[in-house]
Amino acid sequence: MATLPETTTRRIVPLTQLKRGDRGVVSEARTDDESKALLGAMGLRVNEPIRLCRHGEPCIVMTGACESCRIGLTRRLADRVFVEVAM
Amino acid sequence: MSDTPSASLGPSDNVAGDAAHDASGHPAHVILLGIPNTGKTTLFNRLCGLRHKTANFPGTTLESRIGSVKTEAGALRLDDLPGVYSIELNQHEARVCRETLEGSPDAVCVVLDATSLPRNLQLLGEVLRRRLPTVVAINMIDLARRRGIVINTEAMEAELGIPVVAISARSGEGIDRLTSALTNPRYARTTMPSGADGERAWVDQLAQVAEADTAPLDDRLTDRLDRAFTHPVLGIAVFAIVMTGVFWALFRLATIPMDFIDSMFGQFGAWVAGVLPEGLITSMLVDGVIAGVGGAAVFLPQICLLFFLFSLLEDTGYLARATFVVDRLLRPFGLPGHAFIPLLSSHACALPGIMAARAIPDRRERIATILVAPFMTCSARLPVYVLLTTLLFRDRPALAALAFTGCYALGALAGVFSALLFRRTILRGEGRPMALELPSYKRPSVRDALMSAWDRGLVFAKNAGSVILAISIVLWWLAAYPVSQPSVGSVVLTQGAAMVAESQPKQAEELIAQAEALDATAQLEHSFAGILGHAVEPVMAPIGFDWRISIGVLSSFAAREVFVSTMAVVFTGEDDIEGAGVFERIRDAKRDDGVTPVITRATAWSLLVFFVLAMQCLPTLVLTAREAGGWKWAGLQFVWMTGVAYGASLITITICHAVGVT
Repeated sequence: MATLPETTTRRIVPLTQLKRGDRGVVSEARTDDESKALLGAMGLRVNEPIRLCRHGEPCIVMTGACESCRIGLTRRLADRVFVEVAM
Repeated sequence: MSDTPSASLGPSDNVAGDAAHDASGHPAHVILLGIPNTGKTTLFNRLCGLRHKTANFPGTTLESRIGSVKTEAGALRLDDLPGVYSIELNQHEARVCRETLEGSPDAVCVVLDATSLPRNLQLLGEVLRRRLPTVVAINMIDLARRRGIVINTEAMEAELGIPVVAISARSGEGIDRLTSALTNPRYARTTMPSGADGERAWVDQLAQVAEADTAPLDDRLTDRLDRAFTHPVLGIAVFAIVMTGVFWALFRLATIPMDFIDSMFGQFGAWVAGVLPEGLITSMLVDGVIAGVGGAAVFLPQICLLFFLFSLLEDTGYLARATFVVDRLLRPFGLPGHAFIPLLSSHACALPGIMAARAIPDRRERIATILVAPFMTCSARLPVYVLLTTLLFRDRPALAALAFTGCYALGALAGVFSALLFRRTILRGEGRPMALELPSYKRPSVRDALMSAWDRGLVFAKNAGSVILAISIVLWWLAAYPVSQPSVGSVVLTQGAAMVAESQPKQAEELIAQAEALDATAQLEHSFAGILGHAVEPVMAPIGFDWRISIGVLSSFAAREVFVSTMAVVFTGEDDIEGAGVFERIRDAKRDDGVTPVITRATAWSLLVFFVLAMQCLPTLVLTAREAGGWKWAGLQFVWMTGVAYGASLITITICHAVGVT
């Protein structure tokens, strides 16, 4: 479970607003329950750290503390996954 | 974590007993479970080799592989379940896993990926919660070692109380220990607590025990390859190159074994015809069974090669990236990126294409893909394309090739626009947004690819041996009954042959061959197939087909490739299009008025368009009914495709006449 340092300013943005190399922590998936459960089981669950590898279509993120899992999402889905990033 | 309530066994007795046999002495039933891309299939292949069969899970279209594992304690039955991220998901695959686990197997072997252990532990926890005898196989340990990941299997084993074996299914490392552990599974001493926070804490704690955490992997090469393979322009270029390679292999390399199989069935048919006495039984065996099954079996090399290549591509990790490239192209038509393997497979044969549609998670998208897959140009259409493009462009091979390519494009366009129509009407609904795990790039396993080709080939061969066999016999019956008496012309020729048999044996043989050809043509004309041809002629006339072409079209509703040989029989009495003068006789054949050619240029264009678009494959309809969930879908597929084909042929022949092509 990852959190950002208390002193940093935080912002919650959709995955599509991250730039390549940006890191963040999954905050929320504003999708239907089925997709939310699937994303969670794949590793994109709340409080999971992520790093953006590719911006656009598809959006590619690495998940987990050891960034061992690479997940590709269509832009439509990436737009609904919100992450907390340090400013 | 050890404080977590243990399984309901004695305090230290968590032994599940002899797992090699169940209480009734049958081989113990072991379930293989894991999340996608953990190398589960590679492990299954390593453990079972060819000792396995492919079947459907009861009441579903989801495939299961059931194998046999040799152990010192005897043989085990191993069931390979579909890869799932969680068995609690509301997905078809997860439901099948839950139901299988509820069937109380003798043991569960959970396969975990050593390179990303923490995210695999959720599934392990879900299995342990069900209190089943379990063994853990931590796969790809060699890859993890190379990445500096060390996993303490002893600590995990002590913590969980179940066997934990580090293996590499690819290299065979640890397989003996795993085989031994499978005969001695244990109930876990600890299980995952319920509730999201409890589950998370359990997973984190177990990951710490396993010491699996490691520094983030700086994989810039993978990042670069991903960006290239999913790039809007470069990605499509790479995809086009890869698919061209696949097509080249399908239509170049596969022709060698295809020709061999064709020749073997031909020789076998000739041998049977020579050994058995002449009659209807022999005719049924040679012209119905052997010719029908041979006509389907000839596609076996293409199907095996197609799945061999797809398995290699999937194993490299490229296919997951390509799915996103194709998603961009297909999404405007309401189809997902997952549809590209079914649609591409359908260019060899619609049967494996429709079977491959099982991988599409969304039901509406899956049914739309199944409905339009037969629009893709399958190999069975090729002989028809060859015949008609040659009729149209006899001495202009470049134009013939262009027409050939146009047929492929027309089929693909009709498919995607039909999908769009279905998705906007009867299959309306938002598609499921795609999220795919992108596995690491790696060297593909030839062994796994061969297994995949073997499995697919076996499924196709079983189909050829059942549905296609039955259809072939029905088709033969329609063409063979009622039996016609020899015509006057045939009798005269036979008598003439008898008179010159001794003095001019060669001429006698020719006369007998002519008599047989006359009889064959007459037989087909007066058979049930011929009667049907005459009956549908008024419907077919607007698109330029007379009763003879109609017989060919009707017979090809069983299987398209039959059209060419039927045309040869109708026009010449021979069933070999490559026979001397056969092509010319088809081209020069006249209608009943004795003046108008049967196949004019306009008719050839109309016929070509009809064959590109029409649903003329009964085995495909049978499979559509099974895979889409009912005969209403097969009915819709037949009516829609045939309707589109008729309409397009009508437009074609009207345009031809309007511009003076006759």
